[in-house]
This record gives sequence, C-alpha cells and structure tokens, in this order.
Amino acid sequence: MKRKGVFLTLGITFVSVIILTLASLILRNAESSEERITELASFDRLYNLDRSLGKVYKEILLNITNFNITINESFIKVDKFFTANESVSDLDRTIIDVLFALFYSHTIYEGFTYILSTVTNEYIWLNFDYPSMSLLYYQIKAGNATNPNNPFGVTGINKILALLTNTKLVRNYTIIVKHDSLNGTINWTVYTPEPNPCDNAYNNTIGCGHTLNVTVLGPGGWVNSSMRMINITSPQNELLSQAIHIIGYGTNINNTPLLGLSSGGFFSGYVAYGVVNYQNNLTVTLIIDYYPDKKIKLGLFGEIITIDIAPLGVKKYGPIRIF
Amino acid sequence: MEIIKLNKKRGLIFSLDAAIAVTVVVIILITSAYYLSTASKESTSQVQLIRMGNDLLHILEFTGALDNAVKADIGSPPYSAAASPTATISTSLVNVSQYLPASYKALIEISDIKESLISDTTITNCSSLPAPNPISCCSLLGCNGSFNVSTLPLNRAGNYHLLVHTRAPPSNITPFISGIKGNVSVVLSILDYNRFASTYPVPFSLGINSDLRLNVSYGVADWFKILGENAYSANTSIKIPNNLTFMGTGERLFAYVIQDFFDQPRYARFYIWIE
Repeated sequence: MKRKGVFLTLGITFVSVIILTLASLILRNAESSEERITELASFDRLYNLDRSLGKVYKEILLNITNFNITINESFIKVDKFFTANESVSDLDRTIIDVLFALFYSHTIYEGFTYILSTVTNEYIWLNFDYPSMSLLYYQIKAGNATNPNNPFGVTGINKILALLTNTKLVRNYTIIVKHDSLNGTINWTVYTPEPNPCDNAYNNTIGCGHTLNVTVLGPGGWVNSSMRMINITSPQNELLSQAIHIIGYGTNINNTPLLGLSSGGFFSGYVAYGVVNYQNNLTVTLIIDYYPDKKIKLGLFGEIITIDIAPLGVKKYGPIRIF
Repeated sequence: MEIIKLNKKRGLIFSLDAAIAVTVVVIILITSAYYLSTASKESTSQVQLIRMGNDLLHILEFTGALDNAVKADIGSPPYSAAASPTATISTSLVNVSQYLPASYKALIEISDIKESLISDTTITNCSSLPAPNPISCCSLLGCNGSFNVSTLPLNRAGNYHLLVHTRAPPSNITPFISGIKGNVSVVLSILDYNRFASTYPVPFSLGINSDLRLNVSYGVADWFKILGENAYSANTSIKIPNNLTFMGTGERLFAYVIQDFFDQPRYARFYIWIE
C-alpha cells in the first residue's frame, strides 16, 4: 500500500516513454519518407530532362529537314517523301549524314559516321567512314519506278557495297558478311568511284597509286559455315585522296543470289539499307541486329548531359538520345 | 522522531511527487505531439503532386501552349523579337487551371524569354567606330562600336551561353560581333539571320554583371540574353503563397519550331501546390 504511489509514478513514466518512443518512430518514418520524396522527384526530373531533350532534337530534325525518324529496338529508319520531279539533293545527303552521325549505340563504337554520297536511279551509295570499326555489315538496295521488288533489274545478283571515304586513314578494315547459305562465292571488286578513271582496279590492289590490300579471310574464304570475312589493310596507314568502293557480287553454287532482300534475313550485325522506292520515298534504314538484346539509341556522341545531384547520389553523364 | 516529522509532511511529499510526475508527463506529451505534428507534414503522396506537374507540362507542350508563349514573345520569322526585360506569360496563352483540379495551383516558368536592351540608356564606356559608321554608338535600332552592357541580376553564378541579337545595316552586310567578359574573350558565331551565340559558355557571377563588353560592327546590336539563367525567364502571373507546407517543382525542355524556323531549346518549369 505504501508503494502504490511509486508504482503509479513508474507506470505513468513508462506509458509516457512508450508514447515518446512511438512519436520518435513516426518522426523517423516521416523523415525517411521525405528523403524518398526528394529522391523520386529527382529521378522524375532526370527522366523528364533526358526524354524531353531527345524529343527536342527529334522535333528539330523533323521540322527542319522533313526527314522522319523511326527508331525501334532493331533499326533506325530515316525517310522523306519526294514529289514527282524532286530529286535527292546535296542537302538531303548532308541531312542523312548528320542524322546518322548522331547515331549512338552501346553496340557500336563511338565515331561511327554515315554518308549518303550518291543516289542514282539504280542504287544509293552509302559511304561509311569508320576505319577502326572491325565489324560492319550492310546491304545496299534500291528500287525504281518500274519494278521496286527487283531493284537492280538483274536476277541473281545483288550488291554489297562498302565505301571507305577519302581523306581518312585506312587500316585493317574488316567486313564480315553473314549468310545462311553453306556454300557460295562472293566476288569482290575494289575500285575508285566515278568520275575518276581509276575504276576496275580488281583483285588485291587498287589503282591510282593506292596500295590497299584486300584479303579474303577464313578457311576457303568462309569464316565458318555462314560467315565470310574480308579484310582490307593499308600497311602505310594510307591517307586516301579519294573514296574507295568495294563491291561484292554474291552467288551461291546454284548461281542464285546470296545477297538481296529476296533471300531475306541472312544479314547479321550492322546493316545499312537504303531504298528509293517507286513512291519516291527515300528511306535509309540502319538495321542493327547483331546484339538483339540491346536497344538502339540515336543521339549525340559523348557525355553531353551532365547532371549530378551529389546529396542524393543521383548522376547522369551520357549522350543525348533520340527515342 | 524523524518518522513522525515525515508522516506530518506526507501531504507535501505527495503533492511534490504528483507535480513532478505531471510535469514529466506533460513534457513528454508535448514532445510527442511536436514530433507527430512534424511527421504529418511529409508524405510520399506528395510525389503525386510533382507527377501531376510533369503531366501538366507535357500537356502544355503537346497542345502548343508553350510554343504560343514563346511565339508571343519573339514574334514570327524571320525573328523580330521585341526586347522584353519584364516579360510575363499571359494566362490566356498558358492556362493551367483547365487541366488542374480545383484548389490545385501552378506557376509555369519558361526560360530565355526576357532580354536585356542595348540602348543609349543601358550601355556604358562606349567607343564609337570610325567613319563611315555612326559617330554616336546608338541609334533607334541599337548600338555599335565597343561598349559595356549590364545583365539582369543573375540568380546563380555559373557558365552560361550568351545570345546577342543584331540588325544589319541597309547594305545588308552581315554584322560582325565579338566580346570580352572581364579577361575572358567571348567568341560569338552567327546562328541565323541576326542572332549570334557564344561558342563556349562564359563565366558570369551572381547579381548584375556589368563587365561584359561587346564589339559590334557592320550593323547594330539591340538586345542580348544569358541563356538558361532564371533572371531571363518569364512566368505566368500567379503568386506563390508564403505559407505553403509543400510545393512540387520540375522541368522539361521543349523546342520552338515554326515554319522551318528553329528558335532554340527552352526550359519549361512548373511550381505546383495545393491551396
């Protein structure tokens, strides 16, 4: 009985401490919640800036150039509709050059450039300037008004076209062509483009003083059952004064085409594909399927975006991406 | 004897004990109430407010409201911008209330809409060009020669790009312009028509910068702006209350393109709250 007061005091103190502890826990939870709010808001900000920046570039390109860009996980397509009497201009070529110079992907090294150098009624010359790139796959095909499905007007032959641009150092340039067929022949021709008279410099040397070597690698010309590798080297790391074109005419043992859309799905890796179809709609598509799990990104090279929110540990250093 | 004395003071001791206990309890309850009231101010649900603001900006961009605000400021191509050092975005152009629930309020701010005028009253230390250029630095169209200009009071020191607008003389020779900021040379290259932009960002300090010197020949310069700085942004006219417990903010970039004329990317920022 005498200790009842003590127990009462202790009890009240105990209850008070419990209340204080609960309040402290609630406060702590609220502080944690506040941090989450700030972090989520920061990520939202980062996301919005990144996406809107890409959208800005896409809008600028579309509005200024009239070229529409389509990007999905396997290709980048740039297309423009031409009126009946309109032809591809130098500006159009420059625009495509710029668009693909914007190309960026983790699956392709930085520095990849792409130039639409010539468009005729037969085909589009695609000019690749990437001397240090070791894997490059591409296909050229062009339609015409009379028969868009047989663009070259020739049965059994299509072309692979590689152009090493001028005024660039050329060294160990390797082209790999992958094909479903187990056997076949690709006859490679290396020459300098018109109107230069140095055409038809066949085999392993190039006319007009160039000393590039062209070698077919792999056993029997095939790297494996479905891949062929062409290696082009310049021992002097030669600075070319003009473009060099390498054209492959592919036929299999039955003299049917190895290369061409009709065969379908036989290219792998990096494929650039240009079409002038009967609707006068120029479409240049860069297909990337060598790393199918990678997403394509189109953007400016280098770390253009620099966002660093140090207190939150939120950072982004990267290129501008066009989605 | 001592026990008898204590027994006589039992009431006093009881009172003291009760008083101390009550004091302790009251202190603990007050502290708890303070903690609880502080805790109730923040909630993850406030992220929703920020996301609503982001959606709002997206809608305003999609509907062209942001473009309209820029267009109202700079006019139509070929870019006859009127210098507007105190620009306000009209609510009729950017009307946020139609997209927000009742009691939600938002202020929209667009960067690079204000400009600093270049005129007789704003430049200092003018050295006019020799004949045949005008002897005085400024005319009604703008100023040429070498002169100092002052920026609007910058909110944050940093490296910014400079945009200068010029007007060509009647002979239509492209104006030539260069600059110096303190000891740093400012290289300006022509963008289109009459606009010159710095090739590299220029360091600016907090507040008014009056050590930016421009050299203009073959034409006049009539305004300039520091790109991306809040001092050169304009906003809708709503006032942000002082007693807000929470206000969400965010931003995105947008491009103003009209009739194949690309102006520049701009930031659109929102400040959103519940009244």
